Amino acid sequence: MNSSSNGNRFGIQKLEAHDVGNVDEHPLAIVNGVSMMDSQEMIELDVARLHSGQLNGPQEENALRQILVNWVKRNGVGYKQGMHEICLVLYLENDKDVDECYKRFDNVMKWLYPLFYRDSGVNEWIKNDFSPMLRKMSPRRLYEIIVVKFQISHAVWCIRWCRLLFIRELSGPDQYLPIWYELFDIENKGKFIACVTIVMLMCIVPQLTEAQDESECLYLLLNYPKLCVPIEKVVGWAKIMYDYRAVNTIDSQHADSDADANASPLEEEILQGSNGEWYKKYKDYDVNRLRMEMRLKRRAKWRLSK
Amino acid sequence: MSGLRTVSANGSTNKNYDSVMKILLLGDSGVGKSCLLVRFVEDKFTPTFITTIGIDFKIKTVDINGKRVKLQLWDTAGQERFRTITTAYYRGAMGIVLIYDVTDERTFENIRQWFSTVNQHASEDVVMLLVGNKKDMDTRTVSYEQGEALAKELGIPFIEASAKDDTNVSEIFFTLAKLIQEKIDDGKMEGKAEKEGNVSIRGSGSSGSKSNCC
Repeated sequence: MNSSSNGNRFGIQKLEAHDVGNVDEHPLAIVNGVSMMDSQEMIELDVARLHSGQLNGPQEENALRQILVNWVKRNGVGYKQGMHEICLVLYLENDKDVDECYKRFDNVMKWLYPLFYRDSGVNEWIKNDFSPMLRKMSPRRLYEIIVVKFQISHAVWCIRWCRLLFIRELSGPDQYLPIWYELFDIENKGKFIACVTIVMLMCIVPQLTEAQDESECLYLLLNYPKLCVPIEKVVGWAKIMYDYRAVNTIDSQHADSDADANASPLEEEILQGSNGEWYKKYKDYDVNRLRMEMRLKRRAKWRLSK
Repeated sequence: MSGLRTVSANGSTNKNYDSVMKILLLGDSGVGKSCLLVRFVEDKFTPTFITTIGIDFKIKTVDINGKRVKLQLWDTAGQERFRTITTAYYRGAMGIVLIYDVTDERTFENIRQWFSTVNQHASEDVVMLLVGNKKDMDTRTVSYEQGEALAKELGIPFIEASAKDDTNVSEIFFTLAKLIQEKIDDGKMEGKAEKEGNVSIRGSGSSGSKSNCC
C-alpha cells in the first residue's frame, strides 16, 4: 500500500516517534496537545451508536474501541468522528481479527487522515483536486448547477462522502468495497476519490437539474439517491477519469473558454450509461433551459392536481 | 401554539413558500440534536442515533402567522465545535438552537463555548434559543432553574424538551421561527428569498431513506 506522499505522516510536526510503550496510560494524559480522555469518551459514545447487527455483544464492541484508542494513543492525534465507521468496516472485513484490523486501519489512516481528517484536509482537497476537476469534467452541468447557480460550498456536503469513503452514500459493502479496493492500490488517492465523487454526481445529473432551489440541491447531495448503475461501472468510469486527467493537463483558468466547445466526452458517456432515456431527450439542453421546463411542468402538474 | 402549523415535511409540498429560514442545531455530541430534528420532521424516535458526520440536512415547510416558511434545518456534528470547516455552516444562518443534555453537566457547561463560537462566526442578528434535551430522564443533573439562569445570562429564550416523549419539540422550532419572522417583519433582519425561490417544491424523497433515481 502506498503511504502519503507527504513525508510528514499526518501533515503535522512531531508525530512520527511515538512509541506505544511510552504513552502515559493515565486517562488525563495529553499527547501532542490531544486530550486522551476526550478521545476515549468520544470513541465510547460513537462505538455505542454504531448499531451494527454484525457486532455481537459488548466484547466485540470493546475490541473495536480498543483498536481506536490504541491507534489514537500511538499516533498522538485526536480521534475524529467517522474513524469508527472506517474501523468497523475493516474489522468485519478481517474476520474480526483485532491485530489484522489494527494494521489495516493504521495503513488506511496513513493517507486518509492527512487527506480528510486533519482540520484543513477537506478544504485543501476541494481546492486542489475536486474543484478543478469538477469544473473541467462537467462545466455545463455539475459546475453550473452546484457552484454557479446555487453557490453551494462543497465543504458542507462532501465532508461525509470523503471521511467515510462513501459508506453512507452507497447502499452497503457490496457497493463501497470495490471502490476501497481500487483506492488501496492507486497512487493518488485524493484524485481518485474526486473522480468517484464526480462520477456519482454525474449519475444524478437529472435530479440535480430538476432541483429548483438551493435546499433541494443540498438535500440531494446529503441524501444521495440509490445508485442507478452497477458499482463496477462507477469504478470503471472513475478510472478513466483518473487517467484522463493524467494525460490532459487541466488549466482551470481556461475552463470557461472551452466549456461550450468541449463538453467532456466522458460525461456524455456516463450520462448515457446511467440515465439513457433522459440523455436521449435532453442531451443538447442547457441546464438552465431544462430547469425552466421542469419548473413549468411541475406547476402545470400541480395546477391539474388541484 | 396559535397561528403556527406544519404544512409539510421534507419539502414534499406542491405549494409555494414565502420565505426560507436557515436554522442550525448546535451542541456537544450525544445531546440529541439529530433525535430532536427527526422527531420534529418525521415524528419518529430512535433511542440511539447514528453519529452525524459533517452535517445532515432536512427541510420542513411550516405556516407562521399565515406565511409559508421553508425551514432549512442543519444538523451539525457535535465534534465540530472548534473546526474551521464549521464556518461554512454558519453562513446565512438566521436561527441557532443551542442544545445540551440535562443528564450531562459537561454538555451544559460547554454551552458557553458554543455561544462564543456562534458569536464569532454567525451574523450579529442571528436568533438563538437554548434547549435542555432529555427532560424525560430521571438521571437529571442540570436543573430547570440552572438552564433558565444560563439562558437569562446569555439573553436568549429557554425550553426544556424531550425528543423521546415528544415534549416541547415543535415548540423549539416554532418559537425560533416566530422570533425570526418577527425580526424580519420589524425590519431588523433581512428575509431570505432562496435562490430560484418562489417555486413549487418537489418531494425530495423521504429523508434518511434512499429513493430510486431511475
